[in-house]
Amino acid sequence: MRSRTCLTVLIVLAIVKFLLVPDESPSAPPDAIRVGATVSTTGKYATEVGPFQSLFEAWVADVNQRGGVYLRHYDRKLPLRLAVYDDRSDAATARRFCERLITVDRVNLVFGPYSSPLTFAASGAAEQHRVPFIAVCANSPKIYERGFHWIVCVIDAAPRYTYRYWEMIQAEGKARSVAFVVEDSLHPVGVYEGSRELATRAGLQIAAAEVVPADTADFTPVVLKLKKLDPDIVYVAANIPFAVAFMKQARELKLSPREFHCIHHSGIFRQPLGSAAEYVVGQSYWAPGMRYGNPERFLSLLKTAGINLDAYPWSPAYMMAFEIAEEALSRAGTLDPETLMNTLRNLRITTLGGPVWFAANGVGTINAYPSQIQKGAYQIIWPPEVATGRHVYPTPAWEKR
Amino acid sequence: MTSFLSVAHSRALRRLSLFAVGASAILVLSIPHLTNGYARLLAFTMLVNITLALSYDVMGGLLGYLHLGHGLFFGIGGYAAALALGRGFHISFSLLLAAVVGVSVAYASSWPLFRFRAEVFALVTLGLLYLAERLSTSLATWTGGAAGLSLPPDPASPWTQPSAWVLTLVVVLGHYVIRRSRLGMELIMIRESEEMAESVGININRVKRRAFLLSAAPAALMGGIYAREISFLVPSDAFGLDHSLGPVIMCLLLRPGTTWGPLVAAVGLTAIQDILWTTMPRLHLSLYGALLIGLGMMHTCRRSGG
Amino acid sequence: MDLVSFLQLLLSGILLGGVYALLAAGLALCFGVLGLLNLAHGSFLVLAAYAYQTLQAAVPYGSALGFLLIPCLCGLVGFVTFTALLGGPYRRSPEDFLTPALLITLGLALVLEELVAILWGHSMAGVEDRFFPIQLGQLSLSGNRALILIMMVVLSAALHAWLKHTDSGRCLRALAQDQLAATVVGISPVGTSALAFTIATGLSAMAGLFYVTLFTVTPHLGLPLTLKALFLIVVSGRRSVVAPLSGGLLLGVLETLIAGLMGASWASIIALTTLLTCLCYRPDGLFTEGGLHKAH
Repeated sequence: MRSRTCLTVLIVLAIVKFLLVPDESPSAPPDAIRVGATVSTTGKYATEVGPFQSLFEAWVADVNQRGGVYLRHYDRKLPLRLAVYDDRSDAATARRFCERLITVDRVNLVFGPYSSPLTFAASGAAEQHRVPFIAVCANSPKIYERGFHWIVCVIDAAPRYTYRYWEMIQAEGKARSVAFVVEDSLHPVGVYEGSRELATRAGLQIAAAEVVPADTADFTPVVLKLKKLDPDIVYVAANIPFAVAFMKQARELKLSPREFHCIHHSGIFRQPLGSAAEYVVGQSYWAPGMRYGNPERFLSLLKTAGINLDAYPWSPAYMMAFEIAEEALSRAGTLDPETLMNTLRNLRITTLGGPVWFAANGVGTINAYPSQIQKGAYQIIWPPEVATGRHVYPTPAWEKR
Repeated sequence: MTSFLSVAHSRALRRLSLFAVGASAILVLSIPHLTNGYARLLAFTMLVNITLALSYDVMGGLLGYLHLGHGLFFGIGGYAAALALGRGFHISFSLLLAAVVGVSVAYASSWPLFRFRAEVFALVTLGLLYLAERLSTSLATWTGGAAGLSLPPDPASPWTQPSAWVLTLVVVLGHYVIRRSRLGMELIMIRESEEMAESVGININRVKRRAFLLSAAPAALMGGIYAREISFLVPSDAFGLDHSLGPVIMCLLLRPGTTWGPLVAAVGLTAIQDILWTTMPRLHLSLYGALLIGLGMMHTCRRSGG
Repeated sequence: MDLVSFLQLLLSGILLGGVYALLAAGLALCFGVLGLLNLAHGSFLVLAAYAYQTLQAAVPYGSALGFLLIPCLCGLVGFVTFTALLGGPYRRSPEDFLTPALLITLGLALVLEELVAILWGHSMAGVEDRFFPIQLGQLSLSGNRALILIMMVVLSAALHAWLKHTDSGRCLRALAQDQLAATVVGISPVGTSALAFTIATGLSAMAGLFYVTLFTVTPHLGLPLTLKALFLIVVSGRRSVVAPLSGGLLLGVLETLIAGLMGASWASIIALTTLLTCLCYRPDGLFTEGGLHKAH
């Protein structure tokens, strides 16, 4: 009984709080820069970005510790104020909470949710209310084909996701053929479609392209087919669970191409595969040893937030979004949305992951670097000016990994 | 003791529903205060849930069939409408198409489905949901497959909110009417005893099929409206578990087979979920789960007209 | 297709059947036999998988210890869950248990999802497999999967024997057939159901240990896995603990062979449609033992 009373009181209080939203008059000078985000704390994307609310909090604390961001127009430093909601990895919820960030919390700037479907839904709210929206991990070109003005995205479009890898393969000139194993879900399919073209352009012969349901539990049919074709590269366009299950069976059935490429080979990838993960090539946004931007600050934010870089390979992309936001705010010198958005669109800075600018449709330039797992560590292998290690090709036999 | 307990429980239940009504009333009343997009979207989520819960109730409450694949029609309606909208058809035609396709699928699948006993039925529809997700992924030339189906930014968006309101109103009234109609009585009779219903000359399969079609149509329509509102469909969202499990819970929670039961549950649970999600940055999911556990432990089964 | 490929596919399909049966282990007893719809089945599987991952990384002989300890502990958790949460509503109205069971187990699934996410920092779980593939001439037999299949055969047989030949097993069957009559002859419905639920939870935990060596597990996986397992049980036939194994084998072989012949993207659609069509002609499930249990 008492617990129910407590619950009732709690909920009534919550409702009262919900109703008493301060209605600020826009003419008064702002006391803070309000930034907002939705994070998939629960639901299917929680394993990708679950703890990222802490990352946002760590960033805001870090900026505020230095007094905030100086805005010329008001001639003072304004602190950041953060609002974050859990979007349940659901498009409708992401859209609703994006709307809430804008209309209730009255944020000056929104960071997009994780994944393309959520961003597609949420960005509509920002466009409608004319609030700058920085998409982070959402690279389906469909989002940016709508001619939206109020959106920019940190990372490059999905079809170009592994273009540096194909550049490297072409430059090395050793591999002749590639076979694609594609997980039939949004991001992998997008990457595959782009990569197929890039691979052809790099002069490779496409031996096979197997599009496989995401929850496939047995890969024998695919592996047998690939064994017969014996391509130089087996390119696994898949999320981590799919890639792990595939690699386990590839080892059991002794599929030995000259190279395995798994577009996502971080997170938990190495742990269940052990030595089978060695020499697999994939993508990293950032690896220790890269010298762009301010890696020390990034690492200290990760530490404050309690986030492990290997387990959350997207965290550098969020850091770049923070850097972009900070720079855009201080260059615009005002919270006027129009000025802020135009500054954002014309921005050109060097972030943690390299130089960033935005195309006319809002798509950014940050792209992942090919990296290879060598002795349990990720080594960036291309381009030479960024590389932290050398590409080992061909991969040694299974027994020698 | 038992009767005392059940009285206590029904009292608790009544209080709870009173509370849910109160919470929802506050929320609804607050809409004019917060003439913002957020309140509109929260209302939209509620409308979706009410429509799904009440349309599900025709099968789950009146007929008493557990049915874990109600989201099938929501997803099918969504895809049908999205395909039409993407080819430049007007929203009214697209929604009509959604309903027609949803009902046709329900009609076609009803023939094999009603061969099964009630408890198997629930899970076969779940299988159909899974199959639909697979098909919408594999038929990539039509549906865009896993890469998703995107709609052009909406010239029709002023239509989605009013149509959701109208649809929900129709569904609420429709449910009220059906429950008091001959069909409703027949459904309740079948639920209580199929033999008895058969012995008084009810064509069981025809009645069941009607209920199934009546339950599928609003879900498909709402799916179409939802597709327009979200404007990006991927199979895993359109045929996700949310739109199948949610209505079951909302229908069964208070008093299945009545109009107010699923209605109040849908509004109440949506409101509670929203409050938890906006006030508790962490542990909101656990609290919501604990709430469901608590409601389940207090639950006493009471159906209408039983 | 040459003979070796065909045999390899067949072999892999059979082993895949073991994996499917693994998913349904526990649920076949709980839902299949007892009729208790436990939506937290997959969540216990997930919980056990995470516990196993931690244990085998932290302690020497952790995997062996895990196999002994975790199913027992999870069984205990299951027992506590049943007595604390489900027992009350079950005692109050055994015949209308479906709604409270749905609400409680769904709530439990949500709580467990967040609990696991918080305890293990949202990360996925995955464990390196310990068994090497066995080479049979040109065929390769996955050590892990073979172990799972053997395990499932043994477990199903043991459960079947338990249900058939022991008193507690007979009580359970009696309860499943006719609750009132069972109570009249002195069977305690709550006690018997608690026993079944405990065993079922232990079995889900066992499934989790194997599952995490083949695949990766996320906190969110619980509900989707439960529903997949439910479907498998219905297709193969309720009211039997052996049926999921036969159903799983059929589905596994069908899927793998079709994928080998026509490509992977349509394989599961065709296999599922085939099973559903067959089910229309045997509405009680493909492998239901005719006449053993009367219709409910």
